[in-house]
Amino acid sequence: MRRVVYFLGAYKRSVTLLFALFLSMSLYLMGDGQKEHIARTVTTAIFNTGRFTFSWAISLGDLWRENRRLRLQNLEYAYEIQTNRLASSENEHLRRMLGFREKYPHEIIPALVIGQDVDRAVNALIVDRGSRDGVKKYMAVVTDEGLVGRVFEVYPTASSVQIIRDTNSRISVMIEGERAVMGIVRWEGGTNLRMYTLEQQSDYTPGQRVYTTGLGGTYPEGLLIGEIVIPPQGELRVYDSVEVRPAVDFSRAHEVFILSGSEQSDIWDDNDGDGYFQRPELQ
Amino acid sequence: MKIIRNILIIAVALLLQSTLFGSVTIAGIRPDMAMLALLLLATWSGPVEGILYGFFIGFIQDVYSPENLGSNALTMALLAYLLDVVKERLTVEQYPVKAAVSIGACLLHDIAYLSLYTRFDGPLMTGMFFPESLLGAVYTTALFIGLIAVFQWIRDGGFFYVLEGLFRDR
Repeated sequence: MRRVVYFLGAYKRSVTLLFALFLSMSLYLMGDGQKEHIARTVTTAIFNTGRFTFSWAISLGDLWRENRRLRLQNLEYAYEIQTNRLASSENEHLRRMLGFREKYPHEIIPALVIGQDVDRAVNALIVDRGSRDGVKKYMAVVTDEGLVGRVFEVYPTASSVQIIRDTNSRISVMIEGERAVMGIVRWEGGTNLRMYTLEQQSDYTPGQRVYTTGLGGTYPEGLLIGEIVIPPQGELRVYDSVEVRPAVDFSRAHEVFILSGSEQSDIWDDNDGDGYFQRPELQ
Repeated sequence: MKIIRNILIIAVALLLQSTLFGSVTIAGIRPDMAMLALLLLATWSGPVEGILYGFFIGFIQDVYSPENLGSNALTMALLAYLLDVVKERLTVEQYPVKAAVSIGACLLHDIAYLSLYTRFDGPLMTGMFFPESLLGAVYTTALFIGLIAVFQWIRDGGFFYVLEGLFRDR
């Protein structure tokens, strides 16, 4: 064995040559079919090796193209989602309108809030519907959440809505429950309203809802004002009062509904200061 | 690392043979790029590697014409062996000697290959040998000498001298 290794080491060039010649002659003397087969196998192996070696570059190109395609697709989907959201919002709006139509017998005039009133003495919103759209003074204005206020100035293409969180606002209300507790809601500053009632030691609980009674004719019956947030202290007083959190977030009210046919007023003004309160004229 | 370099040389040579030099000819004569690769590798490698590279180059050439499978492998392996013998016996440092060895190798390869290809048909072999083989040997040798000169110039730092000259402050 050692001799063989020594021989191979000493004559490695000749041995290699003999090996190469033997292999070449074997290939040369093969039949045509076998030659074809070997050639095809080697060619395939070379192509596969080349493809494997350069596949990363091809993959990189494919990856770049796929990335570009996905980016474009992503943009299309983003646009589609935006469109769907708008459609969903519109659908929601229409559903609300439908719900209102079923709930209230009045004709509904949908309106968009386009601004706040510049008169700081009055808490008011400006909506994009006016006398041309059939809006009249003292019409109740609501959202799907509850009562917003009432129209107090009408222009041809816009109206000013006095919200219930205004010092001049007085609303006849009742608290939901087995025994309806009635009272008047007004605003005395802050974020909440205050309800005054003649009932004493009433068993109010936070979360109880407060609705319009429809008395006085200003607002239709059953419009949600808000809910009780602070229970009474239990002190013996002539007037009992309770805080009411408005159901409507006035800063976020973008779409409102004007209830046509609810245009009456229970606010009697003493404009001339003669001590006689007069019911305002309906317009 | 040397193996990768040598395989790359073979691949580039065969690619050039089948693409660029297949259409760019001088008086209808094409250089033998496979032979050029063998000459380079035989110059740089040891005896065993040279023979194996020769066999490999010839075998790849044979694969493209399978009816003569083995003929190129045989002649190239044999030629690699002879080149190593020449390298052992002669001092092939000077360019004329290199050129003579290159021409001799090209002609010997063609004689051996054409013998096998024509099945030792003398007239046919002679017809194929003249003038293609002679002119092809000159063309291949010219390229070989040019390449060797370039490699030598790079190895001697000539390339870096040029770069340094280009970026030197004037």
